[in-house]
Amino acid sequence: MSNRSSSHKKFFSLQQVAKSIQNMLVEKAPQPIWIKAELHKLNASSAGHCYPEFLQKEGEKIVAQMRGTIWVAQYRSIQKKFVEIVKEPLKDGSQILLLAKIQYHEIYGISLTVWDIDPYYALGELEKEKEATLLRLSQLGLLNLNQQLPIALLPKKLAIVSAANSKGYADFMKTIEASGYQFDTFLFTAQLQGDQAVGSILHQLDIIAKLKHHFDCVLILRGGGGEVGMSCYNHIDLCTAIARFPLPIITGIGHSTNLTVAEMIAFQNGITPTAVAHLLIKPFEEWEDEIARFQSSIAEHCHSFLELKSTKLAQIALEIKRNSRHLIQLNHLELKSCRRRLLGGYDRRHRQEEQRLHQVSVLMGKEIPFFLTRKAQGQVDLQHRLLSILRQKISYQHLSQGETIRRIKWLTLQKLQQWKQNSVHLEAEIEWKSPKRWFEKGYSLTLFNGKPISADNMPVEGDPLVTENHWLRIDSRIEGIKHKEDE
Amino acid sequence: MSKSMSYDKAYEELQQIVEEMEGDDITVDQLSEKVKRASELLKICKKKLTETELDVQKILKEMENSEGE
Repeated sequence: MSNRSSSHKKFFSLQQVAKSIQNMLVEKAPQPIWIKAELHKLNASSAGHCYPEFLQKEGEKIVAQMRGTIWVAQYRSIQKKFVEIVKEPLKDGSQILLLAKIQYHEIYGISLTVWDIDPYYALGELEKEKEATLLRLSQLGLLNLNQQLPIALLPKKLAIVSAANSKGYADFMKTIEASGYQFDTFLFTAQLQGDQAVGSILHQLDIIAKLKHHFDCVLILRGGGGEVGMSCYNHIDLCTAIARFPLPIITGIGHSTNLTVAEMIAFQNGITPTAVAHLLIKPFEEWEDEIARFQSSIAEHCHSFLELKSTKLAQIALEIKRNSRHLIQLNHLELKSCRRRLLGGYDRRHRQEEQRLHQVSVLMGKEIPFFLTRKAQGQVDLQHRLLSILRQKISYQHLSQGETIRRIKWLTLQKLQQWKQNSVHLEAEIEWKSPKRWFEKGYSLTLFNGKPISADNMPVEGDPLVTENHWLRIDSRIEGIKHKEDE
Repeated sequence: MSKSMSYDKAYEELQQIVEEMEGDDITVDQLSEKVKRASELLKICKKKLTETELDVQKILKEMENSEGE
């Protein structure tokens, strides 16, 4: 019974305990102190205050945990500094150095009232993260992987990771469109800064990897905003993906100082999207120049080659002309000399012949008149003789003509007398031999075809006959006929 | 990808032809052949600067298909 008595134990009320703890704190830790912790969650409220959760982890194990409060005024001023110096807003999960007063509330318990958060510490932490990422990549041998990829002579088919309303993207597109060359682009939209960036970009890179045969390279373009929220580009997951990516990745995320890991390990870093555009345009310009150079070089060489050949041809033609002229001249001279020789020879012969003729004619000249006179004389004699012979002949002819006529006359008379005698005899004969005498005696003459019947003129039965006698001419037809030979 | 290879090859061949011509070691017949080939190659190379090579429809289709996976 006495053990259970509660009168001996010293006890306090809860409130007293609370008050006591409060007093202890006021005594021992009246001023705010700097605390290193992980800002697990910021928990910003609509009113602008934050109710963060702080952690300390060892490995994965939580070894300490505490709540806190950041009143709106402090929160605003802290954010401003962070944006200015760290270029990052306060982020869940980041290691921070906070200036806070430990408070004990009898109802809400321990909390840390945050007066300030050190931006430079945060900066340092980011740097640490960056270093850690680089180290990890180096250990995995990924640092230069993307940079060693081959790239097309003229990268033309571009997979662009950007935001549709990004000024950086707009600048890029304007620049390449103004170039006049044909670039084929396909936009893959993503968050390019802040908390969601890593996941968003990784998602798109995944998709692009599956379509890698359509593209020459990938561009990550960002620009126009401030340079806040870029620490995502130091994230190990994003950087590993970039390092391992099968296509060259070109970054233009606008970070002019303090390069991020992503920019360091990408195939190429153009810094700004416009600069990336110029990077891509340059090979096209060089290509175009080379082609133009080839073209003009070929034209030039053709031209000079052909000129050379045509000059040679002209030379040859000239030589041919000269040579042939020379030959023709030589031939002319030869011809001339031949001609001279011929003519000379001819002349000589001619003269020789002339001389001979002259001699002959001289000789003949002497002889011929004499010769001709004699001839003439002879001819005259001849003529005379011919004339006299003719006369003789003619007189003979006269004589004989007269005589002949007489003889002819006499002979003719004789003949006529004879004929007369003959014809008288003939008449008598005819008279005696004519059928008239026989007709008177009663004989008739039968004619077939107007002719007497003979071996050549033999009628047959049915043939017409004409019978003539002294008194009649009878037309008849044969009724019956018998050849005398048949009897 | 295969299309860019043909452009690269065209470029290489063109380069070679120009070198040959600069070498002056060429006959008139060869010349006309080379010039013909060169003008074909020049055409191909020039096209590279102005021709579209991306098949957007194909890409969209593939994206759709892979999303189903």
